Amino acid sequence: MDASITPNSDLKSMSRLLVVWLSLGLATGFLLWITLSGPGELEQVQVGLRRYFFFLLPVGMAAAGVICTLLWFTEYWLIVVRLSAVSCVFYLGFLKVLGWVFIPWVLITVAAIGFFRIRKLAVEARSSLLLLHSMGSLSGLYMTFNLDKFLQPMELFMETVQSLWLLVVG
Amino acid sequence: MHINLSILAFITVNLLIFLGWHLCLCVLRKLSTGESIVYAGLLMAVQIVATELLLGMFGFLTLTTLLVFNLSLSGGLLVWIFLLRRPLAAERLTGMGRQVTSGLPGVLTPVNVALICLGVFLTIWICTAAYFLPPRGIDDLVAHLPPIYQYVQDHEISLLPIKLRDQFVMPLNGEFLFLWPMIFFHADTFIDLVQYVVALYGMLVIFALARRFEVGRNDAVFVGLLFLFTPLVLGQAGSNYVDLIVGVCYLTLLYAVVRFWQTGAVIHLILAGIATGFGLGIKYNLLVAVVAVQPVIIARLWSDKSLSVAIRSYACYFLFSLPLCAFWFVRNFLATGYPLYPYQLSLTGLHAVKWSMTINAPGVNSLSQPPTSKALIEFLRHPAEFFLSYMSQDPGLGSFHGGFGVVFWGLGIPAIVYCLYKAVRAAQQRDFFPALFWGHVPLTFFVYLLQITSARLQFNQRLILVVIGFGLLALGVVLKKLRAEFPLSVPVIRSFCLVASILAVVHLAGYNWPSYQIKQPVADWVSNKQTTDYKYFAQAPWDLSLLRAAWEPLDYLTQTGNGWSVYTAAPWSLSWTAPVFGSRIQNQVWNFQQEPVGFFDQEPVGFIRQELAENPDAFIFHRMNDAPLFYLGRKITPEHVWSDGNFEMVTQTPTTQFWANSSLLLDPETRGRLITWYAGTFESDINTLEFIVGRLPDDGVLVTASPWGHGLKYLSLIGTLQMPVHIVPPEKVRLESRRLQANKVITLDKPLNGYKSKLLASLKTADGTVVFYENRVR
Repeated sequence: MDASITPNSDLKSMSRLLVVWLSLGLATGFLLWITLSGPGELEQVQVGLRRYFFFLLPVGMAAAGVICTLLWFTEYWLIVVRLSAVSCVFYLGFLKVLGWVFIPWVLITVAAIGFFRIRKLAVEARSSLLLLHSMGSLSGLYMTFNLDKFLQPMELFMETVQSLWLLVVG
Repeated sequence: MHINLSILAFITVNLLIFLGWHLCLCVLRKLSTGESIVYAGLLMAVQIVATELLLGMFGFLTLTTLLVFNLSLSGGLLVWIFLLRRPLAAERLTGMGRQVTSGLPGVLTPVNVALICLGVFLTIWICTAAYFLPPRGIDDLVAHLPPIYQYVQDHEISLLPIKLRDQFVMPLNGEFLFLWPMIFFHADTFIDLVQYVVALYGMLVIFALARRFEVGRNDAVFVGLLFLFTPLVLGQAGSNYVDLIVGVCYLTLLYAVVRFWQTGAVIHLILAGIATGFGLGIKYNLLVAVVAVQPVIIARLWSDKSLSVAIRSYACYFLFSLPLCAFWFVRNFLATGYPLYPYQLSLTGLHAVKWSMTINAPGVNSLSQPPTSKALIEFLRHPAEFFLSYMSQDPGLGSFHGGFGVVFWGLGIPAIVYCLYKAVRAAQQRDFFPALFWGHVPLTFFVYLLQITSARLQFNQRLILVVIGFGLLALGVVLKKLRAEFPLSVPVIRSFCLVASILAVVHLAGYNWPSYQIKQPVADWVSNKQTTDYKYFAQAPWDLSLLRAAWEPLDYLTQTGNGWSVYTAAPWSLSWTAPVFGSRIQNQVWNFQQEPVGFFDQEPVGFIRQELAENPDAFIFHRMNDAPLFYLGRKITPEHVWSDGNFEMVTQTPTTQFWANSSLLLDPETRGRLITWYAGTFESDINTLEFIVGRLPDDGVLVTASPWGHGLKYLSLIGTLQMPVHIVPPEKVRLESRRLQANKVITLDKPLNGYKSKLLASLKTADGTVVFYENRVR
């Protein structure tokens, strides 16, 4: 079973890793957001991208959880998927919205214990996995908060492109 | 045509200097391509700044002497190589060429090619913005540019009054890089490109550093390219702040130190010394870097050299660091009593000894924040919350103040943590170099968070811009690891970075600090309506758009001729002097020639100009709410200027007044320019007023404080309106009318007290009704 997660194993497994990685990145990013926000704060989020994330991510991540669980049952890549499935439980972090602030931290602890219990995995591969997880998480968190800022000036950007074109042809 | 030739000449001179050093390094030592480019770039910047400094110290800072010095030096180097070392140079250059061409196919991956294409687009955009837009970063106008403008006019390094801004005293090696294109073109046209060129150079430094950490060429190019697309780097690239220059200098210093560690060759130590001196002469915050690299240098010297050789080598490093920074510290010590004025260095850090803001703007004391608000204390109290909110907010994003971007916060930070982890593991096995190298990151953050208050994070991220380089380097190291263990994740990460880079470029269009919007300037250029770059202060933040009402006509009126001597007064916080010099550095700030430059109440010290300036040719006054005006040199109020009677108000807004000597406005060319400027600026007003001008009498004078006065003055200047128009401050309408001793005075909006008045005409406009009164002496 470990062979499927050793370096340069078959591409099929690798592609699954990427799905899991991306899902987990977004999931953890969302969890962190929930963790940071206060009770009732989410209701006040402005209409726009953040609210979009607020509604879309739970659905998306629930689907990711199902996929991860299915992968688990196919017995490919057991450890990674187990970890992923545990991570998907993070979505119970929603309970934070209800004011149960301790829940996400309990879940993080459970997931962390699960992660370190995976002894068979080579240390290097484990650190790479951890790196990928944290990269995905932090990128997800960053983009959750800032993607709208990056996209907002699209109209001005198009004007700039037009102006440069005008310089060329004019 | 003239400007095209000048650009060509400028590029040629720069290439010559770069080539001189590049060949020289190739001959002296067998270097890799990246290494020789990094060092040649550093030495090129150093040569330019050193010659400016030297000539400026002795009062010979002119374009001719500067070119003679630089071309002699670089030409001499090239002649020496050509005559004596040609075969060796040719052989090594050929080797480099082969190295580059053989490595090229492996580097031109789809993501790298896409980033290069994005870079080409960005370069065209930034060049266009630099050409059309004026220098517009706030500190550019307040502190970075006025000193070098003054040096170019005086041909010597002088000290501007620190009573106005402490920053005038700070080291100016970075600003001397701005001075280079400015003295060449005698205009501010291309100075906004300097930091962009430094950003391009920074890409090469990161590439070269990554190669030294055994990152593959493909990924090294990739992380190097990413540096350019970091939001903060993009924001800084078009400004005249020096944080990008100092950050890249830090990376160059690290590169030399890394190479010294790896090879033990003294040439790297010498170049590290040069980078140290150059960096310390840019900004004081490089002190942290200099302190942090000492353990690496000393440990390396200690490891394999005898004590005497180690001391000699270290002395070599120290001596080479002196020439480019000593001048500033000695000058400051003589002028203020503190080498690092306005700071004093102690074991607990840099402390402000005096600060012009606390003196000139009582109540605005940014230095006296309670210690509890220091960011470090907040971080220690709530590490997770602080880090996550710090990261998710990305302080300063969308400006030259900050914005490290998703590549740093999302990918760079975990990669740095990984590198630190590996460094600790290596240290346990007595390999201390990784710890000494990666230790710069926590140290940089520690010192920064220790010095800065949480409220200021969004304005000061630029001070630690160097960590972006570390993040990218760490990302390169991690990519190398992932290529071995999870190769399929690499294209995903690289594609994500490409998307992030595209988003960063899109985001640049929305920047206000500084603005890169070129729509209006390009439209003006296409329709041949260009007057002056200062027109586009309109799209700048702060009060720049308001203050341009004076700067824009001043610049346009003085673009031909010898320029004017201009008196300026504003509330202290609005005392921004750079635009007064004009886009061709044609005007003099009269106040600077009258104010002692020493340490507040002390007698003038140092390079003060002793001769008295003649009376000003023009006056600019800015107002902000009820803030008192800050006078420099001599107290001359708007009242004085009006009373003098020799000055004519060119333009007036609720915040700004611009007066010029009437005799200067009689000059036909100046008059023609004034007409053109009024026509372009008040076009819609003029079109409206043309409907009513026929109903106004031919005799008498028109005296007004109304904004419509500009359009009326235009109509008077071109002869459509027969009577003269006098624009005056609101409280002076009646007094001006009396002073003119006219029998018939036309006023707008209200009749004159003490006159026999009648309604002459009224004009309905989009902004309300404009009423004209005829007032006759009773």
